[in-house]
Amino acid sequence: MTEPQPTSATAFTDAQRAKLIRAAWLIVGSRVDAEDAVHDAWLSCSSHLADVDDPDAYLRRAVINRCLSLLRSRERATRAVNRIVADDVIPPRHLVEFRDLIQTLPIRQRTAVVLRYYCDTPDTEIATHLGCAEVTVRVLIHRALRHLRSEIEP
Amino acid sequence: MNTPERVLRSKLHELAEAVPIIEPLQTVDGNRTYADLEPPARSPRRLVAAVLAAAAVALLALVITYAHNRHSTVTSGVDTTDLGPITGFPLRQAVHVVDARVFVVRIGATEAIVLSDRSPHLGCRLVTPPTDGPANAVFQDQCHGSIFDLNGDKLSGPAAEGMYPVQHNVINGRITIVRDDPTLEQWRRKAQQAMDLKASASFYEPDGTIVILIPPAGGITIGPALDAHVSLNGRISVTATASDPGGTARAYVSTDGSGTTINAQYESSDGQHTSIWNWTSDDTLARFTQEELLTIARQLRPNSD
Repeated sequence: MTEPQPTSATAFTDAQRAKLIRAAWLIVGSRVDAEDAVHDAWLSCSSHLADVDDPDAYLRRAVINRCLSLLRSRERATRAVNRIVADDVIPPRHLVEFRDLIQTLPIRQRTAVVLRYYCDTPDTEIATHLGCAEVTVRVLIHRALRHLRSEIEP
Repeated sequence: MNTPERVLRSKLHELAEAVPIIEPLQTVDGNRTYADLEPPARSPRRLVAAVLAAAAVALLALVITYAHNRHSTVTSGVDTTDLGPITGFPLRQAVHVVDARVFVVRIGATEAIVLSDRSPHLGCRLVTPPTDGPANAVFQDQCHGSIFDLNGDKLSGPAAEGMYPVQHNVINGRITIVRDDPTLEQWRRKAQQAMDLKASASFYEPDGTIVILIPPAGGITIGPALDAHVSLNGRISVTATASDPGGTARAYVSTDGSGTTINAQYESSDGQHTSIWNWTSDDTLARFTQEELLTIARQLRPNSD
């Protein structure tokens, strides 16, 4: 909080930022929310990133935490109202159905899929992020793949 | 065995590429603002949201108008209008056929260029001759200043492309324009209604929700602003919907102090037609200066964490 400027050792590169925003978008389905999650995580982590072993994983963890808590509060808030996510990202035409299918996955399955297949995160780290056993991660992913099979099986 | 996973991986990467990454808002001295946001003060959120919502309403009216104009070029069905003998048009001069809303430029004994008299930019009327521009300028957008030459190609201005050509035939020496939408006039009337609609909106906030009401006589009711949001990097966005008997438009309007983006989708009630627009302008909604925007962003930063 006290030292907002990135030090050279932990500089937040544009590529890193873009990757995190995109991963967060895949999880929360809204660009503004994704941007906020990443900026917010950066704001609260930047001062002590230099002290942690794996700054990448640490930041990713902070972003995932924000995404998950956002999704939970959104679930609570939209129970009575229609679920409308404001989003301005227009995917290529052939990926619209894929996007919709991804968004219908349960939160934990979606997060696991995005981490493994988009961020190339090892299962052990995914397990830490989701607060579960490594074997559970494999189960979540197995179920997600089954749910997505119409879009990913030739 | 491995294939579905590989497909999933590549689709995820391709999908994620659709997310545009904007640079964090720069302050006047070039520092990134999301890193130096100050602790919040409460309150202007409502006002800002209201102002933005009003802007969104005005823009939606435009979008829906544009939707109607554009619509006529995508639907099927045939409607023809006789413009009279081709010899009645002077060679290589633009003639405005007001009733048919086209410009006709005869370029030969049996050949002519027929162009829509609406700007491809936001559907404003084009005039000829222009008040300024280069020597070969022929058409000008009254509202936004885009300039086009005799062939309808863009010479300057905010339009993204040239004027819309209108399909036509020359049969037995008479020009007939072929419009590909039988409901064209109907769309046009509604478009005009939307244009005439005074964007006077009223707001109230039960439980903090922003509701925008437009006097119903205009024929278009604007629903609640679905969402108003100030992002930590200073971007302000409003989502709203509008519907008329023909269909529903949903617009996402955002501004970051250096420009405005509108992403809108219009879907007809019968579900047959969907159109998508992305529109970007250097104008900012409600004319925020970068500094004002920065102040707003600072004040609106959520208290949590």
